[in-house]
Amino acid sequence: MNFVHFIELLFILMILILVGLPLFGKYSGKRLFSDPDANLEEYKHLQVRKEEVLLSIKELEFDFKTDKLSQVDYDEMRAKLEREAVGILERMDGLEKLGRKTKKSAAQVST
Amino acid sequence: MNDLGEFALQLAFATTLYGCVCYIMAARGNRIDLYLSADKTPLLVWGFVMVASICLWKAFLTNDFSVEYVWAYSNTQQNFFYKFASFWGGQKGSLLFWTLILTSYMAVVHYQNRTRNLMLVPYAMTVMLVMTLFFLGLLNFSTNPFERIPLPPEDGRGLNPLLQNYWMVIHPPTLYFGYVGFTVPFAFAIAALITKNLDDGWIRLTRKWALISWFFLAMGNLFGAQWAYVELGWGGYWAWDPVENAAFMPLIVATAYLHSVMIQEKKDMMKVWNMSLILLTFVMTIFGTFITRSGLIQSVHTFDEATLGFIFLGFLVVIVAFCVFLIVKRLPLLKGKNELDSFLSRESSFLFNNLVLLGIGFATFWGTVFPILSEAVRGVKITVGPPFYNQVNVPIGLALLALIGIGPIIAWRRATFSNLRKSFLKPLTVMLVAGVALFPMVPLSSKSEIYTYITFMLCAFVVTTIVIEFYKGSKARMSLHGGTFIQELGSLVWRNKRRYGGYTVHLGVVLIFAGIAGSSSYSVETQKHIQKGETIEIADFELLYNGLGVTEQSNIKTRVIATLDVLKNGKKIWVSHPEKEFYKEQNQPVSEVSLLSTWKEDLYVILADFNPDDESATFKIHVNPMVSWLWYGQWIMAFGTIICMWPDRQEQRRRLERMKKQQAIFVAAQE
Amino acid sequence: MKHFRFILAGIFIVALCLASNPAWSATVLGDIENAVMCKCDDKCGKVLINCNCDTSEKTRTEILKQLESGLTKEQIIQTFVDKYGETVLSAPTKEGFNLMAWVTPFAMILGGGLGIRKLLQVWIKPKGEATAEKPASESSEISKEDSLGGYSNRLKNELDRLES
Repeated sequence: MNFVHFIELLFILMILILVGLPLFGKYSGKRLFSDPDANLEEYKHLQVRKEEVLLSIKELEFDFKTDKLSQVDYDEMRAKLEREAVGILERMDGLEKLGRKTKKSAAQVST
Repeated sequence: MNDLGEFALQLAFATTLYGCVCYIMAARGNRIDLYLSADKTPLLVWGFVMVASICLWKAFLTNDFSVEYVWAYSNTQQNFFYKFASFWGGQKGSLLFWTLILTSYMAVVHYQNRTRNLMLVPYAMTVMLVMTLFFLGLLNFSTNPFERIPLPPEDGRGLNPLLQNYWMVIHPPTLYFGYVGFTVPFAFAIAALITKNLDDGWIRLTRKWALISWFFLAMGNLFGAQWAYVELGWGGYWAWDPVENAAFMPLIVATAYLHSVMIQEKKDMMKVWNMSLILLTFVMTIFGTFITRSGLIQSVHTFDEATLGFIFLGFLVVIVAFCVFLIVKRLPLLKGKNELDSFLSRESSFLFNNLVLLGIGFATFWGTVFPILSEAVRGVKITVGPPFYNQVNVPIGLALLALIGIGPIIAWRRATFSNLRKSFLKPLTVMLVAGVALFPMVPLSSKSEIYTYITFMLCAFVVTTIVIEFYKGSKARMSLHGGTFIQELGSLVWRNKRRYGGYTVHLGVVLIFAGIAGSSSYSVETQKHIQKGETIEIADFELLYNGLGVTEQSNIKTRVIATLDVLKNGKKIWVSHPEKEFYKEQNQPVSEVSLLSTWKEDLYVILADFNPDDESATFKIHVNPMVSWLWYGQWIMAFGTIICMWPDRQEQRRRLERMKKQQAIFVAAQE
Repeated sequence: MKHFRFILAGIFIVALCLASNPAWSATVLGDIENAVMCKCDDKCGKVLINCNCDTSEKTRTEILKQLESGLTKEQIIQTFVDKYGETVLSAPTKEGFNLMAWVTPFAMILGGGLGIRKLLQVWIKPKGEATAEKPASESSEISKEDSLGGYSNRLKNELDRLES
């Protein structure tokens, strides 16, 4: 057996160990992710949307200051965006309440 | 070592296959043990491909001509750099190089996502592993780079002389980095489709990947132009060759994608469109490889036998079918609430930007495949060459240039028409002034010259709008925060890196447009056979021929170098050394261009022919105005892209805050 | 919106006109060199004007000879077509099937433009409709007055925090 064969053997052993060990480890049979929580998914989505709407308001302010739109349009768009943001905030509050409740009950179950 | 390389490729193939299956089983069966097992494969595959690559590099550097590929693309005379770069000099090595980049990207993606996005990652990894599997399959079963020659020859054939230029070390890798990079956004898009995570999560995750890939692709294209310019010796930099088109099309589609994702990020709409664009970009990169590797279409890039065309075509068909199937299946989920506030908005200007970009992309695609179509329908072979692309793409390109200027002025969501009119006043004035000022200076006798004139005016327009954007923004910040103009300009850019980085890229694009316009209309050329001591006059230059010299560079390469004194207004400004290089066993000598480049114009001297007996020689001389503007534009583009890519601390902070809040409120949903 | 149709049509017509008359180089020789491909053994795939192999030199002298003998540009190009077939032309002719090569890109853009117009018409809601929707969504919330005031304060805070 020459040197190259030895390295080849090492490679095969390396694969077998790295790939094989997890299959017999302590996680065997456990789940990778729990079932997606629809509320959490929506909340995550809304967090991003909220940020985008807030950034849009900032941008609108800036566009107004750099003279890209008139006072009338600015007021109207700003009101619209703020309505949108408030809508998102309300929905997020609702989801937060639900989330806290389930978390509490989950904590009670586990103790 | 060669055995080891071959063996490593086999192991990589097997590991990849295992990884694909295991990832899918882990995701579908929701099993962490399988996931942890599959999770090792990206790094293992990367390691094995790396070992194989090192073996091939070693074969090149140690002149191991028992390897057929080394024999075909290297010889003992080549210096270190060309031996190193010969790695991707032919088909087999190119495929291995592609695989090396792909697996390296995969390893980086693996590292970036080691603790997050557990839903998407298994599928994204699977997509990348399947791509890797395809290339490893080719390397193992069809184009083995370690194929041996039973009786090793003394010396190799050497790299094609046309490729022996320092650009060989730079241009192909840059292009490949770009090509391969789009696999990452593609993989995450597919993963999003499969797992039904169809908000803009995948776009945010891969935004930097898309941008970096776009950057490399753009740089690769321009580096290729530079290489063609200095090496091919016809005085131009772009010939609408099928392979150039193949690199150009994904760039154009990706540009459309980079713009239109902004609408989805802001307004959560156009999901199907963005999904389609990234899939199309990726398909175009594979289509490019198909074009290069099929030999179906004649090209200056056909440096060696191309045999894999139909395998790539088959692969392409499978990918397209799969993508279309997935999108159609998820169509009900992708349909969102699409709503715009006004016709006069940045959003609608982006729609037109997309239209025009895809128009250019389509025209290029159409021209590339039309010969095949013609042969299939009429049975007549035809050629679609540069005149076609110039006549079709130049008008569309002008529309694009105009849009680059118009876009930034229009506000997002809704712009007010009267304000818009006011904002257009200055740029339009500058444009007209530029037009009037240029009118007596530029010739307007042909269509090309009229195009150039229009392009210059549009460039003035676009530059003005961008400069005004920077100026107004800084002024607005000054009145708010009260800093100096320079301070506020800095923080304006710093706080809106994407926006102002983007505008900087636009400035680079404008320079490139101007350079293309100027050089394609106003270049002059002459060709003359002269004796020693005689002169050639062209434009303001006078070239005095001082004779020939011959150098035996090595036992396979002989250089014939001419010396010309270059005078401008009677003053000697430069000595030009155009040369012709003769390689043993190559019937066509290679011309080395001698180039004097200034911001205004390039003096481009070629030794076309010579008579060794009386030292008379034929010179071909071009004066190409404004070519260097392209390369300046390229650096500005690079600078702008770096601004866009620079990590944004506020964005990171906001992401962390979001995650903290999720964890505080909800039950931990992920392991 | 009305203007838009005319603008689009105008752009299309101008583009088609500009695209339809061939001209790049001033000299006749240059025109011919632009119109035909180099036909060397290496199949370099370059337009004659860009090629500098031996064959291209021969072809050039051939063209010059033909020019001197009084043939027009069209006639010379025709002799090339007769000799090598249509594939020698550097761009498709503008007749018959080949016309498709020229028209399709512009037709696609025109079609795309009309499509975008249609999309915009659907996506942009008239102002009246947008405002009519608003009260419906708001009325569903309880204790509107208080919470709205609270929310607008929160909005303000969040906006201030955004740029710190």
